[in-house]
Amino acid sequence: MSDLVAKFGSYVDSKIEKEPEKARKLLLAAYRAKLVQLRAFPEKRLGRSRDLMAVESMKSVIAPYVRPERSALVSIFTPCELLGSAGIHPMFAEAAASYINGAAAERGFAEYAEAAGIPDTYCSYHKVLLGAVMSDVLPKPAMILNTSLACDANNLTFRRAAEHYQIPWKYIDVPYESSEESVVYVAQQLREAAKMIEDVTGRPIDRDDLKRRIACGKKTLERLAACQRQKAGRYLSNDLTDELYEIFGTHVQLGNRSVLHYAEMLEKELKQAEPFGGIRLLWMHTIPYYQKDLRNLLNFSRRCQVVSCDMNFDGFVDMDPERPYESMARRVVFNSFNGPSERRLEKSLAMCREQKIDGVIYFCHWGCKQTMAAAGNARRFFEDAGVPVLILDGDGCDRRNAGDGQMMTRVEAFIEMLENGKKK
Amino acid sequence: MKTHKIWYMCKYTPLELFAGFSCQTERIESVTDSFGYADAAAHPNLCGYGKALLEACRQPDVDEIVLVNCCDVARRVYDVLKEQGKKSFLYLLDLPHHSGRAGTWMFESSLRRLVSAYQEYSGIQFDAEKAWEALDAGCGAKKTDSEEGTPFISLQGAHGGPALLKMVSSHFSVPVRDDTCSGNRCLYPLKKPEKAEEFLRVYSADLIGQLPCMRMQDTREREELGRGALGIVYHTMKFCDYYGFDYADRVRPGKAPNLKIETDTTRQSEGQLATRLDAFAESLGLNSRAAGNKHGTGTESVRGKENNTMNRSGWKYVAGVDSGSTSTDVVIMDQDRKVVAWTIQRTGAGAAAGAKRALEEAIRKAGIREDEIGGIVSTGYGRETIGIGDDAVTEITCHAKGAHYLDPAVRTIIDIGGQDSKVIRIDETGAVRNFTMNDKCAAGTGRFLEMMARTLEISMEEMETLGENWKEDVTISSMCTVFAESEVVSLVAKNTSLPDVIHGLNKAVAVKTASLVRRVGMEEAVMMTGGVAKNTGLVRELENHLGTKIRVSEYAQLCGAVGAALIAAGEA
Repeated sequence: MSDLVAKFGSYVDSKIEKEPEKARKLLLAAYRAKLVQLRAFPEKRLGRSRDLMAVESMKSVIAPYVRPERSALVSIFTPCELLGSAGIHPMFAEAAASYINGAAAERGFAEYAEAAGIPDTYCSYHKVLLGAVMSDVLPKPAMILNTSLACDANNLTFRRAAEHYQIPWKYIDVPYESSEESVVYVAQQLREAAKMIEDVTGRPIDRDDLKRRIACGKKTLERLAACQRQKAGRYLSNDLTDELYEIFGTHVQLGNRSVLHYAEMLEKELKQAEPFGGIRLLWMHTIPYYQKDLRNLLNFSRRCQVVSCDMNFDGFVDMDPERPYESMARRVVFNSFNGPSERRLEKSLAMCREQKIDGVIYFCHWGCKQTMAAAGNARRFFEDAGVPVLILDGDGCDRRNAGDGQMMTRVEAFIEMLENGKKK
Repeated sequence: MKTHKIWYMCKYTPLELFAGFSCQTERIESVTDSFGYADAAAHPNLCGYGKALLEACRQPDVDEIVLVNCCDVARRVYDVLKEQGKKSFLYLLDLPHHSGRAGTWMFESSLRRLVSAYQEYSGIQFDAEKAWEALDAGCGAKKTDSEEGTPFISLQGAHGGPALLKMVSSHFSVPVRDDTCSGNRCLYPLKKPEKAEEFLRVYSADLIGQLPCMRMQDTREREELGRGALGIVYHTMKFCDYYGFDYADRVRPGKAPNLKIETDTTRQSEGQLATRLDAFAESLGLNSRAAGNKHGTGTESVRGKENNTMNRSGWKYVAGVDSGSTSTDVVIMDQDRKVVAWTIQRTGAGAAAGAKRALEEAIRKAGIREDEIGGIVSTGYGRETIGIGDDAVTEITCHAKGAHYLDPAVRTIIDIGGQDSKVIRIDETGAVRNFTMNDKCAAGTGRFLEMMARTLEISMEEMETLGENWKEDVTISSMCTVFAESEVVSLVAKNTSLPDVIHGLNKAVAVKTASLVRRVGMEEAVMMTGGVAKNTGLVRELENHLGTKIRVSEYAQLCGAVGAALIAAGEA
């Protein structure tokens, strides 16, 4: 992090409590400057598809700050095609918090939330988001729509936000059991969500547009699945944020034409990518992209690279545009983050085989109990399958819980271990 | 024939349904000494309850287990147990978050799957009539309980179990009701369904319709929890987020006085909790040992002099002994409430020997005879164990008395001690109105600063003064003592100047302390007591964070002992 960005972040933090409007304006100015940079001076080593997704992600974070009355606060797993058809911009917790981290301002928001009684062991993404909500730096959206998937934080953050803003809120309960009965239950709740959206916007959701979005999402997921297959044995000229940007596309932006365009461009680029003989990693859960030494090690590296993140193939299910509500429901009910941890591990193992992965980094993000509590299982599961795994503790968005030195010793030792294993 | 027993953890477990299989049921008792196994099987950063569950489920007799997917950790405990494959019957019951019509429909379906699974495993046919009888009998009993109407303390928050309930109860003179997440199981009598096959439909509604725990979507009914209680003891656990939120949202603004305690379900938590519970009981006038006990009679008995064992006739002096984790402080006071002698000594390895030495030293300094002392009150961590004194009173009450004596304008006291940080709000008479203490972790306490001084290889005296001469604003970001130490080591490696590092540490402690102050609400004037008050750099930082001037008395470190002496002198 440059000194300039650090100073900027501290300055934003100093305004949170007394001048939230000012803090908001500063963040927005920084985001707009970043958008200009992404458009005018894209990273030359990245493919054009990646540039596109970076721009789309930045735009989707800016929109709720500029037009809060046309935005909704959502959880990362919320199917957002309904909002898209109603012209509402979704803002998800992890995005809001990650971009605040990008502006080096997360500390102030986390401390604001902690001072209001939010436990310091709470998921940092949700804590930073709540800091932004409760301080009113994040402007009041039109509504809240969230799923219970994938973690307990969804049961707390959005309830607190709804109470704070006093706005319509719909909670979509996703059962643990992956069954057709659960699909019916979730689909019914999505219909109720549609009713809420219509009440808020004052106009009916265009059913044809919704079908088009489901069809577009279906095609996008097919192309992205093809991309995952293409990655085997190829050099990806990528950085750690690429997989994070893609999460926008595989979740809240799914169904948008720009994401389909991204997937098609990416597939073409991957077909032309050169072979790669270095260390290939699969990353499970979020990525602490802001840690400088980790970036230096993995970005555009000929030695070792992150090939995929398991948050980008969690919802690969078939969808039927003629049954939009059931299709959206299936995506959450049969999501690999729902149900037992075994499902998520098996999906990642299948991807390891498909992409010829050398090792898995299982990232225990601070406060994410559902990931951490499965760490022991993950270690045993991958070891039994003959895939080396590193259980890595850290924080995806709060620098206070991250230690560059400690983390790098572990990651580098793991890569050395994999390199030595390949030589044999 | 095999006797079946179902082990469970959550109040939404369908116990009555298992009566339909003629099964016994027992809640998994989860108190442990260590988490060695659970840390390795899952991860160290989980709530103590989840880890204790894993430890408890290792017992071979805990063989038929029904868990509920009530939280992330419960789901993963199930995953770990399933992977091990050592249990005869292991089941995770899917509990919806909605308790309305659709949620109840889903829950009925969950219960139906459970019935099928258990029938298949045990070969026993489910008997709805037996299940109904159990439901009817249980509901009747609950009804009688709720009609009690005697004064009580409500124990709320995260799971505590019988061990915590017993421990908390021992500090109060009135009953303590278990209103924790696993404790307030209460079903209401319903009309018996006409057909046996309708049992699950009726039962699922009754079971899911209980007073909601925090993982349910609609928690408004929780406002009812603890209604009419004289006070609330609120239990939280590190890494259990639900009840941190509940406390912040529902209890803190509070209708009843409350005390927040934190445990990790290990037995080691008990010692640290005793001070907090005693102080809370003292402030409510509900101390369980309020009469006739030499040690631990509390403020009430001092106030009510007829119970006091001190010989007051013709006394000239009184003494207050504050046996802390770092130092033992003694104050001797005369009849005019004037301090005639004091001493501060390191507690050392044995608290009792240290206290005896300190008292002898103070008596020598005062130039008086021991038999001229009419009363001694002990306070601090060692108050019950040093074997000195006619009464033992918590340091909360003593600091309040002491601070009021030193400066009657004071309404908020910040005390950073060796082991604890506390913030106490007092009224114009020096009585405690509210207080809060740090959680189990040592971050932000005197011990934290001591450890950092050791890392920096400087004395505490240097630590207290050097921080004021900082030039570059360094931030020590970690809350954790262990992480902060490694940050300090990195800063030293980068040649950051010593005053800058110390300033960073002072800031970190100030942030932590300021959040404690916010928890009780600040009222001016603010005084800082305890040994750490000598750290001028820290006091400045704290003033910046609180936006007010902090008063520090020359007797700052003696405040607890002064208060104890005042209580010995008969001050209510």
